[in-house]
Amino acid sequence: MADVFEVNQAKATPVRILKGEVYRQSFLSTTDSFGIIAVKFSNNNKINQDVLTFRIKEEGDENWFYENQYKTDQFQNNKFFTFGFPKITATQGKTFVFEIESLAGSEDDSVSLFLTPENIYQNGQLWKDGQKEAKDLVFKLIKEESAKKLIIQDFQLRLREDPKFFVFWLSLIILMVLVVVVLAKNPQTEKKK
Amino acid sequence: MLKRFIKSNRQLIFWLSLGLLLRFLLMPFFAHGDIIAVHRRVEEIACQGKSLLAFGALGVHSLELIFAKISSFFVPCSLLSGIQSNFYNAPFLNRMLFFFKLPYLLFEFGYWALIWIIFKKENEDKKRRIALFLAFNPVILYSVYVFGRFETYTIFFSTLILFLFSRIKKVRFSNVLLISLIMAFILAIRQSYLFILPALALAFGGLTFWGILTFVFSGGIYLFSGMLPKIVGNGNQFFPIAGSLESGMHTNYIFQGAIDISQGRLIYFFLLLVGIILIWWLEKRKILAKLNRMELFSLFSVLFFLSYYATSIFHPQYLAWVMPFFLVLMVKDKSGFLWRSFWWSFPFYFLFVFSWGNATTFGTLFPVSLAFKQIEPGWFFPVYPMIKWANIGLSIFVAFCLYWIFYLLRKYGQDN
Repeated sequence: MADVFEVNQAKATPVRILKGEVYRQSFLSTTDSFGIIAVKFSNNNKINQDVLTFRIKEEGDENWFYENQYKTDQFQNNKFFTFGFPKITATQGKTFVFEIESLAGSEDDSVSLFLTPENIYQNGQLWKDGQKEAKDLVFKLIKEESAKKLIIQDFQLRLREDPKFFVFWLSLIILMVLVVVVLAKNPQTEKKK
Repeated sequence: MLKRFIKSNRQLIFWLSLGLLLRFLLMPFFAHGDIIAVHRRVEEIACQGKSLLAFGALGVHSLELIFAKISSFFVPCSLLSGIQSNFYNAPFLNRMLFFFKLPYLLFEFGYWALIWIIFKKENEDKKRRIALFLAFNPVILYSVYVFGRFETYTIFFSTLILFLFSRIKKVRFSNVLLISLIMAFILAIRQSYLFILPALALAFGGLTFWGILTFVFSGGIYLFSGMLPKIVGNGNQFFPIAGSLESGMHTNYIFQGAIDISQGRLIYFFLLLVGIILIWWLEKRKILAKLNRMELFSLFSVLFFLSYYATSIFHPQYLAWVMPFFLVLMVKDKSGFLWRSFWWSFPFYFLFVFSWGNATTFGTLFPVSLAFKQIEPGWFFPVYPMIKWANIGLSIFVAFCLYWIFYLLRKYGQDN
């Protein structure tokens, strides 16, 4: 998948994001447009009920370009969660910031963000509740076009995961298509004598 | 015999087969989180040994449990448990969704069969309309096979009542008891069918012996089933139904559409409409007594459901409830207005569906890829924000509901 760049490190550790906490990460866009930021989360081996707010804007802008809320029950363990938004264009060389805020996270019901142990990403800065941190969030910048690839890739994974079912399902579909074609050849109802 | 049946109904079977094909295409690839939530509870009962009575909605959990047991060869507990740890992205999700929705399809077949039997003597043109309505009903396709809700359970049982009404020549105690039992089971699946409990009584003449008996029986059996968790199991409420009616967000929807006339005195729009309908019945009861019970039950069910849709917030799948009753009135409608207007109304209904954003639109494709959970329909609406478009859709859909009420009151109020 054609990610623009990825900030990651094997030693990155998960840190719970609790109610009211806000993580802000800035980054330099090295592409002319993008539409997805994927952030790595841990669900701490349970389905959590917290809701996170994600927002993004160009650094220095007064208003957020995009803001939405996400239920954390859909977050998977140690996987990147993709925050999608309308494609932002003419982004080459500009600095953007995104924020992740917890609305209800508690010690036993919250997800965790992955933080690098030191500041490994030189083109951006991490803040927690307004305070600079010498760390970075683990995240990826993804071009909008690769969202289509992501969907195709996911679907291919689904097909490969359960071939028996899809063979059965496809047979059913072919059978039904044949029935419909046979019936379509002469759809007129026979007049009762 | 089957060959003769196929030969003489070839065109209708063609439409129904096409509808079936469409359902098979949708089943593994679309869902809303609700279907996963229900089956997570079913997994706890079927695989972890929890008591059925530990959960609410006894009717739907019982049915889902039976089908989970039947389909355990294809979806064993080892697969089903995947939805506990991974809500939206469990392994073998497409297979699970197909088998979760298969009972919904079977119940819809039952609904088709009953409708077929009820209307088998209608002319070819009406039969064609019935087949098209059954096969391509966009509300059912969306609610059951895209959204993934169990609405065909209650649709089947309410059609079963219609079928019994079409067969009953003389009211007997056994008929009343049977119909009341079916109605109570419907209520155990979907509490909101309480809206049409008065319609059932009105089909038996309203404030007559049989009408009151049906009302008391259905309501009584339903209330008793709701107390079972306390009596038999370990539920913590003796009147869980009363509790959920009082505090439940969904059941309180009917009290949210109101006008404050002064000093906190409210007039509820839903009850206002229902009141008008009941007063209309008082005026026209002699004319209405000439109708058969099936048509009478359908008429009042449609009127009460439409009153609800027109005055209260409703979830997209709730519109499916009215379909069998609407179909009966549509077949009996010689002008063809109900048939035509139904197809005109649903684009506005779908515009309204957008008001839930991703969860009811792109998000229903999460079984294909989780990336769809990130696509907001609001990105694609021009000029106005999406919610404004959704409200425009709702306003026009409500206009259809109100006009249908007016049309039916006028049509059935005439003494022909």
